[in-house]
Amino acid sequence: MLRVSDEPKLASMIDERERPMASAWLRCERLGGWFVGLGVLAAMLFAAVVTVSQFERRLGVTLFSGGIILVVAAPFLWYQITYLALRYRSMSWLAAPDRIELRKGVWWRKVITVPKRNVQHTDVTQGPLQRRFGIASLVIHTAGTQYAKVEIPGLAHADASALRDWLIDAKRKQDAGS
Amino acid sequence: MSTDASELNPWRRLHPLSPIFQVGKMLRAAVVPVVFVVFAAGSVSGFTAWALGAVVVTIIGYAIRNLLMRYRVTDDDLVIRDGLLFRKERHVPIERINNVDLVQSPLMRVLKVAEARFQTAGGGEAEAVLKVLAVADVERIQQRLAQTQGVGTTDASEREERGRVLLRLPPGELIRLGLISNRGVVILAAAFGLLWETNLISFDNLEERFDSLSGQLEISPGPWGTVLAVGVFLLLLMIFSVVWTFLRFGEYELRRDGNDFRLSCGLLKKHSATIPRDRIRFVAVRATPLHRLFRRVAVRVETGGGVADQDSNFGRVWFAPLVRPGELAGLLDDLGVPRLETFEWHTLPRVAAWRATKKLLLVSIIPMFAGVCIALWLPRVGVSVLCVSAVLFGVSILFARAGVRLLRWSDRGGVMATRTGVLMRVHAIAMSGAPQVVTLTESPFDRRHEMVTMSVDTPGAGPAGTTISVPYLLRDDAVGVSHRLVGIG
Repeated sequence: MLRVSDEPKLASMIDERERPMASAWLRCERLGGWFVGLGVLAAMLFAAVVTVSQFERRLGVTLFSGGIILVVAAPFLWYQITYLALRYRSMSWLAAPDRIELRKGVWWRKVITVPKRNVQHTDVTQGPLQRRFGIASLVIHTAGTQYAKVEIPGLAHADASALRDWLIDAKRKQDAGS
Repeated sequence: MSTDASELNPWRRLHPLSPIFQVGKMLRAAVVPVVFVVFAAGSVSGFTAWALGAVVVTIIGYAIRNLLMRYRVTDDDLVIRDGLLFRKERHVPIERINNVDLVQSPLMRVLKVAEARFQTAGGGEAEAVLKVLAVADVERIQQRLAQTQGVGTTDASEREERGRVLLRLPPGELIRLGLISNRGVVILAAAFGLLWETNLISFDNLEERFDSLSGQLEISPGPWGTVLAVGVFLLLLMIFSVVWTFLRFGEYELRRDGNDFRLSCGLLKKHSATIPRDRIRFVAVRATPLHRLFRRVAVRVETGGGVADQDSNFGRVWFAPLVRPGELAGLLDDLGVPRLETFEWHTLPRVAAWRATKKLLLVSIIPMFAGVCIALWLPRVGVSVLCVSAVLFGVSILFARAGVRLLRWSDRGGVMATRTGVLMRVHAIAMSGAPQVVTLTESPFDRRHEMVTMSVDTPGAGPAGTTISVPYLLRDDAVGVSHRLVGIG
């Protein structure tokens, strides 16, 4: 049941205005990327050092391993620094009394429209990293096939919960009325 | 006379002969690996004995499990109790049951039993399968379901009539269907593939084989002889297709029984499917060039929640495999679909054809470039690569342009329909209320032209082309259409 004190905030969200994702989300994704990426890079460095130490002709093998690491590291750095920011900026969401829309895509842009009455049920999910940043994903389930699940990542946890409550309430009213 | 609820309520067992059918299927599946194991091992000894023993035990286990299966129909649910070691009790709410399909092998038909498959809108495999029940029992369950769902009729005379026949396939139609569906070619391709894989035929020995074959038959076919032989062979393929069609679709009958469609067909393995009319979300009217040659179409429907499994898909895919022009209108009326001519068909903007051409031209640069590079080194190979690419891309461009020019879409009255295809023409119709999620996708190329591709997601949008997707739509149009489709604004 929606608490009375939340209603004005909810009403202000359902205003058919395009809203950006939470800024903490970008930081959260970047941090996660660094963890994984640096971990992989460290493992590769270790492997390279071990391999190089096996060989007599150090220089050639070192250059080769260095090359491989560079080939892996370069796209990763691009992803962390450039792509994540692009993705963050290109994503937005919108809630109106009759629907939820998600806009996403850096080059191939999509607008995904889910009418409120087609929402079967919803999930609010958070990984451990997201919990620390106060970020959550709202996963909307429909009766569709390709879009049986529509995920809106990077919402503030409070916003995601409020939207979920709003969608469930709407579903209950609809079920009761029909 | 209505079915007494208490008749179906206490736990009931499956038909006493069920284990035979359950096990029979497994035996057929097990035969190949068992034979292989025995063959490979050379004799039944030690390990193979254990393996065979394991197989036998598994089969007996399944037989026992089958004997232990129980079902009942309460006021709200169909309940099935199952399992030998791991017990399972499954409740399927009666409202959720979309269809009850019956599958009967020839033996089952003789014994008047059937495998009953219960479908819900959840999709995937059939929710509940009872193998096997007496046909009379299945009918009782169906009546009980109809009662609870409130769509059945208790008027005795109406039930006697068992619905109005919508479509039948007399032998002439079956022959046409056989020629159109061309199963012979499929089997041939499969057989050929098999022979190729096992190296019985390959590029090397093809000529050898042909010579030895003609040597054995003691004929030396001149060119005319070969043509005749090929002709005879094709004729045999066609005959094979027709025979297969008779076996699969013989005694085809489509009826409308109040709010349900009932479909039954099959000479050997008989399928009976029930498709509730109001669960039909999607209708496709398809015509391959062969269909058009015979002036026929095929109608396919999808209910909420597609099904992957071949048997259960039956009613949904082959709703009406062959329909005469005069019958199509009536069938569409019964389905609740507006007649195809009454749709307000929109075309794509003129620049769409050029965009499709441009896209293919861009893609063709790669093989062309590769061809040129190769030509510098191996001139003959390079030139042939260029020629082949040119031809392939030329043909693709012609097809793409034709496809774009022939594409039609309409969203009149909340029903979204598209007409697509060059060779295979498909009218795809999403019933009112079926669209769930609408997606507008804009590629970097679309942006310049202010166009989008609109995709409409429906329940059961699934294998082989039951999706609604319109490319090269002007953005403003698309936004309006998409909102109207999902009932917004």
